Amino acid sequence: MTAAVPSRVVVVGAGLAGLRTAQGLRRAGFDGELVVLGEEPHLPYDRPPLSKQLLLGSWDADRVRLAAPDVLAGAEIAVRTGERVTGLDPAGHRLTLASGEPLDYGALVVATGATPHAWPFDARGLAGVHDLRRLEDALALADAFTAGARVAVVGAGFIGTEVASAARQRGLEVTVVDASLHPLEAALGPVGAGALLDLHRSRGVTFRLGRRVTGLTGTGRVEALVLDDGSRVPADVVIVGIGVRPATDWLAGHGVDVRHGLPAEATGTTPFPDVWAVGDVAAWPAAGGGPPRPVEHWTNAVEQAGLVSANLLRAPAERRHQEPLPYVWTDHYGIRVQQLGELRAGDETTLVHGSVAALEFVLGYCRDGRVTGTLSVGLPTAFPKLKAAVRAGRSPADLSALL
Amino acid sequence: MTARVTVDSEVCELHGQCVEAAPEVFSFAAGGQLQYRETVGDDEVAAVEDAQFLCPTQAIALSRDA
Repeated sequence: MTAAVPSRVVVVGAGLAGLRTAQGLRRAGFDGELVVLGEEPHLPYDRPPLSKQLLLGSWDADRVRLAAPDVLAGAEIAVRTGERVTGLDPAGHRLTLASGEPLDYGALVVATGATPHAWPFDARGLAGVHDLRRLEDALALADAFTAGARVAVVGAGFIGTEVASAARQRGLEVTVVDASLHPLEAALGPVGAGALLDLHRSRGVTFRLGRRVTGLTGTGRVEALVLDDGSRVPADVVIVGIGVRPATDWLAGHGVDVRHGLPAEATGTTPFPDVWAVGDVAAWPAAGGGPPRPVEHWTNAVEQAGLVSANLLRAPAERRHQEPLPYVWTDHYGIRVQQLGELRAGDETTLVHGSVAALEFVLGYCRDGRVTGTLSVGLPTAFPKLKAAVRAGRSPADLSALL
Repeated sequence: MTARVTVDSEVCELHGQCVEAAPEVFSFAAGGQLQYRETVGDDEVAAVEDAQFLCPTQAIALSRDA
């Protein structure tokens, strides 16, 4: 059985997942027309540095580019920026662009990523309130981090705490507000979350936990957050980091529930014919079971892009899938935090190496005597060994011996 | 035919994705530094390209000899 190779592949979304899929198709020998549509005015760029190096001022905007124009031209990848897709006709294999122009595809790769959740308060008419998802957001924030600026972060997740880290390193006063009394715990467990929050406290971050933001004050510019106990957090700059939702609005109305991402099989195919899904928009089967949902991690996007670019050119019976092993990293005050796999309800966490107090340790997430994931702090070079051990289903004692 | 690998040590942040993607070419030394082979054969180019894609800091360059 041979695959019917499409003459034109259209990738919607010019972020990491979309670009790597396009590049992967060329690596796999696809020689048809390859069009990448990006809503933003930029060629593909990388997002992790937006909350790290760009805010610290250690990188300028050029450094986040994922492929130089001559590399794209050399691979005959036509990136069309500023192109928003408004509609899909799955049966007709046709997209509609915001301009009204139709664009036909032989195969379509959906890589539209995710959009920040709407703010839970009204910020109309107030400058100084920011999301952090796009390049412009990061550049605006970096500009706003002027000497003496008071920074308030809404949401103590990875983005919020990375922003706090960058702002403190730039000498700014930082308050982080989160509705949960135990932020980061669902992702990292109590020991990991506690270590990270303690690190931030030791560097001078103030946390207001278990508190919701009910409004903002200010005239023209934000002056303070108002919390649900009536207290105020004075702020010149507010960053909202309360999570994202998959950018699937343009896919609604075809009988597929896309509220939690475009559902995909472990090969990357979707319920729509000749349509594939990669990256933050794609709800692939979850690692270790559970309902399909997007894994909003950098390496996940690259791995899915690699798989889909190969599978797209294969006959259905020859398509492969991979066991996902999610990996995410986050940097705080120069200390690397890395998580392999995911912490699930009922997992035991065991210290397999190092010292939590010294911020150099590895925790194992254990189930049935096997380590199914790890959280490592301050030990970046342990990562390849840990990944191999987790993939091989080693015991906590095996991991301890390894490190 | 061979190809030449270089890693920009100013840019590398030791994520170790390359060590996993192309263990024949990249490894961590006992002291934690990244070490790698600068000349790779044709049969290793695909693994180095995987490592390039997976490198979060885009620190790896690969050039083919004429």
